[in-house]
Amino acid sequence: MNERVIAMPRPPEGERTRLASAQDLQVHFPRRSGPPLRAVDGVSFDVVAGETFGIIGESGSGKSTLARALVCLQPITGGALTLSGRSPASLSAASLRLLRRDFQIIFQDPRAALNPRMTVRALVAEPLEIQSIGTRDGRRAAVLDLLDRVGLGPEFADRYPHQLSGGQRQRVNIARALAVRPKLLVCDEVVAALDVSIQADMLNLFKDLQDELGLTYVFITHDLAVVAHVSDRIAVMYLGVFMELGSKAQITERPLHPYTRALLDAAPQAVPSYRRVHREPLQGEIPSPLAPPSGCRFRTRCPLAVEVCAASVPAWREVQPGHFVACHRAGEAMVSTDGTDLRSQGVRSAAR
Amino acid sequence: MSGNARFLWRRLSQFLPVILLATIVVFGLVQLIPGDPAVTLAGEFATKERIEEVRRLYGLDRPLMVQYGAWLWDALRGDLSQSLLSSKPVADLIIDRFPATLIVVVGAVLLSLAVGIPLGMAAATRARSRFDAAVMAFSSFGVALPSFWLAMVLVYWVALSWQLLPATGSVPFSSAPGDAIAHAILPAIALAAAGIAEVSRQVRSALIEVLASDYIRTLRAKGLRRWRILWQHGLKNIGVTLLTVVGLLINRLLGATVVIEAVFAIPGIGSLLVHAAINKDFAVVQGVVLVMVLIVICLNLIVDFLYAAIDPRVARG
Amino acid sequence: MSMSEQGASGPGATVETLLSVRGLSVFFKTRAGETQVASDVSFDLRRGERVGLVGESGCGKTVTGLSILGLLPRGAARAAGEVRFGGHDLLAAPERHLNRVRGRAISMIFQEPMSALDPVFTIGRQLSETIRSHFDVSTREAQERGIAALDAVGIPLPRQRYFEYPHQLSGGMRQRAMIAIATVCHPDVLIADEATTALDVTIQAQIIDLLIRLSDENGMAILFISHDLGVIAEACHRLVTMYAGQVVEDAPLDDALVRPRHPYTAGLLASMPTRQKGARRLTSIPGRVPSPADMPDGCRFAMRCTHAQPDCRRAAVALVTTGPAALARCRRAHELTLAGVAA
Ligand SMILES: Nc1ncnc2c1ncn2[C@@H]1O[C@H](COP(=O)(O)OP(=O)(O)OP(=O)(O)O)[C@@H](O)[C@H]1O
Ligand SMILES: Nc1ncnc2c1ncn2[C@@H]1O[C@H](COP(=O)(O)OP(=O)(O)O)[C@@H](O)[C@H]1O
Ligand code: SF4
Ligand code: SF4
Ligand SMILES: [Mg+2]
Ligand SMILES: [Mg+2]
Repeated sequence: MNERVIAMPRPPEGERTRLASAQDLQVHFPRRSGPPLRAVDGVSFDVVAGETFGIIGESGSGKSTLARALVCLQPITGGALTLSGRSPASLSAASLRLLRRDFQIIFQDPRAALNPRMTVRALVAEPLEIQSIGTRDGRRAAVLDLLDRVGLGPEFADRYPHQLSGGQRQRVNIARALAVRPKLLVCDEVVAALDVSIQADMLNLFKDLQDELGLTYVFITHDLAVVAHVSDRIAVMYLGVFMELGSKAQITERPLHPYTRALLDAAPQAVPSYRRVHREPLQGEIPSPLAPPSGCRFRTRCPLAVEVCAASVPAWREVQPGHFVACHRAGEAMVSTDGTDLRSQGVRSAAR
Repeated sequence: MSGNARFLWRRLSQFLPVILLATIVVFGLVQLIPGDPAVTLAGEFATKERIEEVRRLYGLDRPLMVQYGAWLWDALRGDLSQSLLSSKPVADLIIDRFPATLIVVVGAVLLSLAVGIPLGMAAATRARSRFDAAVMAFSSFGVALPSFWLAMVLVYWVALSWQLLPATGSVPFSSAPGDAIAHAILPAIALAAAGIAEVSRQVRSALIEVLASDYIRTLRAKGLRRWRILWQHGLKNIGVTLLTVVGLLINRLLGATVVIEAVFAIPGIGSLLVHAAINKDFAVVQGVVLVMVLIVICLNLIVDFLYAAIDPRVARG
Repeated sequence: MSMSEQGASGPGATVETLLSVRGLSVFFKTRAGETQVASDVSFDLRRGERVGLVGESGCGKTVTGLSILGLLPRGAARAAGEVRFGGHDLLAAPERHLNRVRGRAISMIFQEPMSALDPVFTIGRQLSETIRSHFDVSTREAQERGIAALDAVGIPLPRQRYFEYPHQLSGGMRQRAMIAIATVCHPDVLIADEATTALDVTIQAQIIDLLIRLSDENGMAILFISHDLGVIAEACHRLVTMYAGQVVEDAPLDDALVRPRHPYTAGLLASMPTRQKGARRLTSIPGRVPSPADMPDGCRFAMRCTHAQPDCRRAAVALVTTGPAALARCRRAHELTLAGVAA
């Protein structure tokens, strides 16, 4: 679509299999009048078996749309999606159904996703029945095993969703998603609505399940602390495109993109010495995706923006092995025009 | 506000097809009469010549589409054909009779609002109290009460026994406004009973929901007085519900006025319709029904316009 | 700008106490009778001080905030105890007096800026009616003050925004407008109930900074209610931890974070994922908050506490002094060394 170089992020270790791969993936929503809304506008990445791929970004940046596209719940309008080495678009309905088993998604609101008139047992058995997996007795045992895996005892099997706490409902959702033995689980803001202690339980559970079942996650959240906790690699999304992509250390310790730095800066910190020193958070708000800024989409809020940022779209380039960034001034000393040092991530001296 | 203008224009353009459809339905009324409409129209003992004359007079010898086109064209110019009985233009009959109906219906609507809104508000602020229960009981009773029965009771007691108000008839507003209103009071009350019940009920349930919302809590947190919260914020927020209720109410009152005008012997549009229907004066029936349907459609259009005025979110885009 | 002038512990002990909550209890009527959702809650708010109120959902933070202004649902709830402010007990004050305090001396902002603003009135109208219900000023004067308030909270084009409706503003702007309405009469105390919870991190940082600035400039005290310790750590001088309707710890912020004295505060800190912890397993607090209907007799935290001893379950635990201006509701507060965050 433009001069952007499409560089493909390589998996961190060459031998590991790519479970999902997106190349210049686009999801546009047509509108009654005017140009379409470009919710996802050309992103490229691989998800490697066994890893946790985190996606972070502000509300409206297109995270959920990308998540739905990854599990074939949302038709893509451009680019290519490859799941387990095959293109969903080219598959017959039957093989697509089989393929989709391997790619499951869990949503934010655990209550909305569960039918209030079904018991936990029926809810967890449902995906097994739909895919007609196993015998009747086999399914009964499988349900209890799944509940056990997500930390719910057999006494929960006959409860209804309203008799569960938020964390327990989310566990039922996970059990449902795990029922069909997926390879990849997309988690869209699954801990956002939970109290910290329950959130900690859930994050531990995700880790345990990954160790036991070799699951791969795409973990979407707007909470930097959460994404930094769970992810092996992190992509930073803004207005439908990736701004930066790299290993957790690259993103949280050596960020190159001004937006990534701004997000790191804005995240509230409990540790006294890590608190923001000069209080200059990112100004303004995310622009409407209906009229994204020309050139670099972040330029309207970027403290480093220069003329070229409005004129040309920064290329998506690999600056270090596995570290991708789209910024004309990536890595430049973060000094703003008035001379203040903007390098504020990492350990800072205590100003209090 | 271009957003508002665009909204109104869109609404307006949607209403034209509705109006066209309404004219087709009204026109179809005459076609639905079993047998030869000319024979029916000409009456029981009509001669052959009379039947043919009627057929020509009403253009019934032409193809349906042509008849419809001609009728619509005439109607557009304000010509609703002639009464079979009196040979007067139907449009003139309607214009003559309309004010008497209007004063009763408007009076009933005003009464419903003036009593219904405070009653509903009082009930909502004391939700689940004894007072609330009493209002709700009254309202169930009021909705179920047949208006003609109330009309007869009112005529018997207020007009005939106590002689407080005139029992029947009507006076043109332009000649004697006071008298005209006096004549309209009892019929308006008879019509309004159901209206009060409906309005108070709807105001109560809408307001209970509004009062439980976060912004009402904000208003209290700002130190606003109770009556301000209720009468300014509460009322405007139930405005959409209220408008809908009033729209439906007027639609229904226009129907109910047929019976009420008969009880109070008011020479309004309702009694015109009844009389015409009994005498198979189908030109008049067609004309009156068309006018009533048009009034109802226009009313809905006005209600839609007012929605946009009350709730800024409606006009979005 | 840094907050260091006042020191992390906030205004010194000599600064006047503005608001004093003493033995506040809140009861809700339910079908099964009355349940108590806040018990004997006490804390002070001094001029210019920002106090964070933290705890898991349902532990009574919101009802505490609401009862200060007498905003608990009428009929369904009852508050006992004392809320001393300006020489009056607000819990005993008549509605007339409360209406003079609300929005003028003590204001409150809420979580969802969309639902907390009246959708069918302009921002300007909602500002000016606040001003005019507390000051006898002309419409024009109210408008000028309203526009100035929008300007003060950093809303661009305030003169234009003044005439717009809430739905025409973005989420961040709506919360700013909400703050403008709450602070237009320059109150002494602002109660902010989860005021940044629904916002994106970058907007959240902006709003936190705005609140800090308003408080520093005008000496406005803030009761900052949040379930997010990070947010409170950024904004406050003092931390009050609530658990199951009780205050379990009340201490200067950094003391409480670095060296918590109550196992529950320590548990909250251990549960938080942070960039510094890396991918280590998080330590969650086992079990759940007991329901208000069947509170245990002894320490309410006992069944989830890893330090519990048989004594803990025997009798109710009182607040003990753990340092200068620091309290904790734990029998073992003095003997335990609990891990907090790094200094
Ligand atoms: N079905 C749809 N039709 C039209 N527009 C849509 C649709 N779904 C999403 N969008 C738009 O696409 C953009 C991205 O939405 P998306 O839900 O993916 O954001 P997000 O990053 O998940 O945000 P949040 O953090 O709020 O969940 C938004 O502007 C949204 O309004
Ligand atoms: N209107 C109400 N009716 C009955 N119980 C309520 C009501 N509002 C709150 N509660 C109860 O009061 C307790 C404290 O609630 P709240 O103050 O909202 O918690 P927090 O703000 O700490 O999450 C909870 O147990 C909650 O269920
Ligand atoms: S390209 Fe320019 S505007 Fe965009 S992030 Fe880099 S410096 Fe900022
Ligand atoms: S009193 Fe006992 S049970 Fe309660 S918090 Fe202290 S140690 Fe734990
Ligand atoms: Mg989303
Ligand atoms: Mg709350």
